[in-house]
Amino acid sequence: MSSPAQAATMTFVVYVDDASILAEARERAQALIAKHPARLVMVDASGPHGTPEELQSHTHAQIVPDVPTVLFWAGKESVRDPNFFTLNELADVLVLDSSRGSGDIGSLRQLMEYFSAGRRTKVQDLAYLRLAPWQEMIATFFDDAELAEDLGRIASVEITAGSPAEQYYLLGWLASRLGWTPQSVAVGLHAKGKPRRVYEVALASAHSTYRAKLEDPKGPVVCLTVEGAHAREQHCETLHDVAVVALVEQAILRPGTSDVYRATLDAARGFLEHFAT
Amino acid sequence: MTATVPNPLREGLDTQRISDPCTIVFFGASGDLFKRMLLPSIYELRQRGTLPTNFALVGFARSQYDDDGFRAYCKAQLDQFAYGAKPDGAMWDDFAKCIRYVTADFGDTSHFEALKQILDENDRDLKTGGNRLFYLSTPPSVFPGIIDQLQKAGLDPKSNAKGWTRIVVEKPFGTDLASARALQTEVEKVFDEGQVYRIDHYLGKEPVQDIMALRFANVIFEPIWNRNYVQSVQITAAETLGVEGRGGYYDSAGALRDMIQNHVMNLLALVAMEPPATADADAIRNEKFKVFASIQPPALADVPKMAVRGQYDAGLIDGKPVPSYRTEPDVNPQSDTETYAAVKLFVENWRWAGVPFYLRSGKRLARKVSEIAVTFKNIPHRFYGENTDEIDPNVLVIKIQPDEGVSLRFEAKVPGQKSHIRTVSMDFNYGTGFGVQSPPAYERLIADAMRGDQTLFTRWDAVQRAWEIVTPIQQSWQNATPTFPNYGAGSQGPHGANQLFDNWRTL
Repeated sequence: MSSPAQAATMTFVVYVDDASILAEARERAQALIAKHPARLVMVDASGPHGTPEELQSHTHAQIVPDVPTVLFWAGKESVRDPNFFTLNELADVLVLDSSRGSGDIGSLRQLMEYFSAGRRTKVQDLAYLRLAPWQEMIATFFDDAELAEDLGRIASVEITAGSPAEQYYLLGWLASRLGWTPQSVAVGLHAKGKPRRVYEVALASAHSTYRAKLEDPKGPVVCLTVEGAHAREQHCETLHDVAVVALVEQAILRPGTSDVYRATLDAARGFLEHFAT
Repeated sequence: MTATVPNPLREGLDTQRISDPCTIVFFGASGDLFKRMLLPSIYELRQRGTLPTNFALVGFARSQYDDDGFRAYCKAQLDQFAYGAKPDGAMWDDFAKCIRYVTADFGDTSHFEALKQILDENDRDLKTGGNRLFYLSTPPSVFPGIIDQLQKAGLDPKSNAKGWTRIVVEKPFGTDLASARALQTEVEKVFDEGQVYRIDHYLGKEPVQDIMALRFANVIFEPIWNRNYVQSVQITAAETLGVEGRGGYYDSAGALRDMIQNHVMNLLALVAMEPPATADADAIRNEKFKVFASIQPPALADVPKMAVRGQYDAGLIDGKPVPSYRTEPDVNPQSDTETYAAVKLFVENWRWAGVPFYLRSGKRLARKVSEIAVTFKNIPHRFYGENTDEIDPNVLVIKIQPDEGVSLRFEAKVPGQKSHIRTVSMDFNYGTGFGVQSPPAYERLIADAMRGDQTLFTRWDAVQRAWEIVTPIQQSWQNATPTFPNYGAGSQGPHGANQLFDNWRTL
């Protein structure tokens, strides 16, 4: 019996090189294409799979012409895997999570350089998209007109997170919005807890400290406190953690790489280079 | 007004957060609407991060509470009625801090002065910026008194130099044309039209908002959306429920006032309106008003040909026996209040001249369904299909509840060597199409009122015109004693409705 005709809005290529996550990756991909009709191409590189060029050729043959090709990179490494570059040549949109893999600063720096190089492929990094609730929380401090006046006087920032990608993306985002350079602000980055998780962000001016802190024992809640000259009552908000499938969905629905993301990347790279030297 | 200092961290964020700080005051905060709909909506807005950071809620009602007692009451109601996260932990503690209460007699100015003191304290302690949203979720009879007292206590917009003052008025806005005008006179003494938010929660439902998107974000419908192609439009708001403990209110209202004059007429306006020039609230509301202005109220003598009423008898709903309307609690046993109303109207303009719009609403009907069905004309010349095949007209159905979506009925050839034609349906469902359920209407409407967006609220000219249209029907029905009850619970409604229109969609 033939299957019913189906519309396709994209070719969704999923690259996996770890047999232990293959089934889970396939399940998530299928959940996604149930909502966004697509041809799913699973690229399993966990066993023998030929050269990068052969893998590229095999994948290319399965792509639906005239609709975008989205590559979801679920490989253990990115810029250190030659398949990453050959498969990227096929993609209109690259979705990956820079918090995966070895997560060392060197590979993060290489990856950010690769993102910044102005390629045709639009990049959506789940590590950045995952920060949206934190960006929202931090912005919330300065909706208060009185506190907004203190934004230009922030002198130090402390970020506690489980992996460097989140730390540098948050730092880069703040720096790009507030015009910081590595010389103009004191930075403390603290590794703590599970990867892909932010625990605390604190900004300090000469007069006040603004702290957003994950209160895990109380549930997925972030409490915002302002101490010092502009002290405010503590205010708590639900942290809307977003599941991977939903993040990937956001990534494929976004029209392109945003200006804010580009500026964040540039600023984050500046800090990475500064700390590397 | 609150000074706006640009927040550079907001740039590029995909946020729903309402920027203006404010206090929302719920008059009638111990009532059913507050605990079932308004409070859960506010709490969900808080959970989603939509409420402004500097926010406060004040309950104002007759029931005796102090602040802590009212917080405990709110928590108990949320435990029962919250549709998202239940009140717990730091989130609830934080939310509870911004709740206050005034035990009040709506006629006592000193209680409104106590309210003013709390609002001033909120501005000082919670930085609510002098912005006040007064939400009237009380019986309509006390609306004028509250508005008058707000002014006497210095809570009117003109006395508030620090921020904005807005008022949300629940439907019904009046019980007839005269009372609506009288209420508007009271409102106008204190509030400008731009400060008044007349709520009709139907307009906050996602599928209702999608009517405009369907019409104006697609090119395929608009060319045929007129008298040349449309045979008729049916708008249905049918319920299986009875009066559900609201017998006292409903017995003085009835289906014409409770549903047709507001909800159903608003749906008609969205279907029939011209494309607005912009998405601006008044641009849209201007077009809606023009639709009402194009509908001629029926002459008294014509009402029997244009409108049908009914009242349910005992019957079966989902196989279970239910009582007749006249035996419901708080309903007059000799009541002549209609629980069903069907009306035929014409929009007399170039687009719609001669196209009947059939509106119906009722309680205790066979199925719960709210929908708009646009039936197109028959094909002009038939040459296809076997002789015995029926070729039905195309029907576009905008489904508002319970299955939110759109369906299009069209004809297709049955596979095989014969040319049989059969009707098929193409369905779009919001839940599966977007993978999300639509948020409740009140969430959207409360947030819009806080944002100052009046698009989904009804302007006075439209309210007045809608009353003018139904007034002859009201008058005609008041002048004649009906033979009630005239339809069984769980049925399609009174037989008389078929004399008005013989092609109602089956419930």
